[in-house]
Amino acid sequence: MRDELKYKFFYGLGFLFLTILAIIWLVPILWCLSTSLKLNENTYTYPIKWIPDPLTIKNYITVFTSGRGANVGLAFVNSTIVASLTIFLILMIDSLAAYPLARMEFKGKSLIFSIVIGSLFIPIYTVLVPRFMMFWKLSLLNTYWCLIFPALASSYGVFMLRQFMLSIPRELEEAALIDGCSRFRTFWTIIFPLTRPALATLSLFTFLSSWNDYLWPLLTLNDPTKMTLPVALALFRTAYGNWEMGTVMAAAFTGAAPTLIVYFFTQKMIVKGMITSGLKG
Amino acid sequence: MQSKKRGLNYIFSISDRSPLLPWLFLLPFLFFFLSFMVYPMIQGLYISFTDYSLLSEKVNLVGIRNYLNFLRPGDLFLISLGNTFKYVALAVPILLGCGLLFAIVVNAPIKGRMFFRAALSAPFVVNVASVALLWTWILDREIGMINYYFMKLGLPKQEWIYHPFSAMMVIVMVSLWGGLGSVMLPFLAGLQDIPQEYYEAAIIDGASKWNLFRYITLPLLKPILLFSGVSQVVAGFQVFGQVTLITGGGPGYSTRVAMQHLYEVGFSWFRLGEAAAMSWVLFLIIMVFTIIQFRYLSGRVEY
Repeated sequence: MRDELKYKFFYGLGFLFLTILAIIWLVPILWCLSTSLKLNENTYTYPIKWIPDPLTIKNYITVFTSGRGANVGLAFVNSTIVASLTIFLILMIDSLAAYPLARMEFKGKSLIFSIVIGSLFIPIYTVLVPRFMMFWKLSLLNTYWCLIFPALASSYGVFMLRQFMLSIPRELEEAALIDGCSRFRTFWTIIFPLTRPALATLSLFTFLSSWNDYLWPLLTLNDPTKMTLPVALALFRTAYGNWEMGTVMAAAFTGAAPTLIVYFFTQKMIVKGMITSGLKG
Repeated sequence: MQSKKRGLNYIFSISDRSPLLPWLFLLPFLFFFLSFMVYPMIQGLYISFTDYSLLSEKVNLVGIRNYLNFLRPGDLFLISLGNTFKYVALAVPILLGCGLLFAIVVNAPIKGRMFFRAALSAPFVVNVASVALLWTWILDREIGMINYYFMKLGLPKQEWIYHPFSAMMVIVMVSLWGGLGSVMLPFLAGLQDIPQEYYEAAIIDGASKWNLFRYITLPLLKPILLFSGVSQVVAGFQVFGQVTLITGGGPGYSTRVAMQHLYEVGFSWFRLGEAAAMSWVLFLIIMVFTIIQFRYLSGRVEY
């Protein structure tokens, strides 16, 4: 009886604690959404009205069409193009590279693999200056490529796909190899499709890092028509004042919504990817 | 058609026996890896010993002058570096501590825990510009939501980003709000991986709640602690967006961080040689921290 009471007490305490935390964590996002749907003149009235009255999407129209400060609509398109291209190329290049590291014996393999792992911990600023100079000399600043190429140099995907390929039973490809299938065809028709779960996780992580990257795009893109969302948002803010909070929040939410939506549908995959990539090495 | 197919197969089967085959697979990746990772690293080291600038054509080797500059007392890089250390020392323990604590709580059999998990971790997928826009308004001194509720509760209006101490705390708290998911979720997955039998056996032996945590949970979470610790320290030393977008490094230089200083020296003042030297100093600092963490924690990791 006493135990039950104690249990109930701690249960209640935990529930209260979580509720308060959840409020702290969700209020900024909900407030952003709610403000973005208000008319600008209704945004800074207190106490806060959580349900906008009147409800309006005027701010979103302004964000996507006005181009004042920054062209957020175009930035949305740019971000989408860069993210999709990066994902596609990373999947191809990294799975090709992961295959021999998981399945073939050759001289220099362990060297390559340790370099791949070592580079996982290289912070971006170590290469910030020289990379910038490279793209400057190649005249590739203000193009999609200056965002895509560095992403392809990341060894994260190679490492993660190799780990996954190791867990695929060898018998599956041995049968194909004995039947006279070439290594490349074995890879393409048997291993690549079987790697799908890992490829999905990699796409997801690539999407998040590509969409959210701020420092490098800020450095390499100063042409407003080429900017990605985070850079455009930072610029957008400077053109708007306190009395236009609704419009600014609509811009902020436009940047946040795609990743939030993706996150809510793929939560489990993200969690799984976070530990397999980091730990099971 | 038939013969063409056989021909292609023949070419592939020859290359199958070639020692070059694995390198053929690796080629596309190695091309990008060598050109955009390895080469820039080496070139960066070279640049750090020159007076390279985007403004002049001539490049002179200046030895270690760029590095010696940092030793001048009152050098802005040293101040920024000091602030970065302050940020890392505050943010990393808070993030790891809250991450572990909240993971334990949302792992308990509480009604709606899936909702709580999603709510607490969601902000970590939001880009830093949106996060900064949000918090700048919420923390606004005059019209911000927090100061409004502070006033309602009879608390004094806070300066937030206008006071050196609270400005740093704002950066740390925003990092906690936005980064919690990246720490909590791995801990949560780790907790779920611990077999329940361990706890049951220990409870039969009469272990207390604290002992369960101290001798079962914590040792089994060590690999995740190591992983999160290292990645948070690396991320912490690179903090940039939150600072430049929320406080701009101010008031004064009180929240100016190393990355921001490097950015301005290199790309506003175009002194790339100096910026490259800074990035190597930062790189070495991170390496030292990473090695210490690996030494200290991995020695005791029990798999």
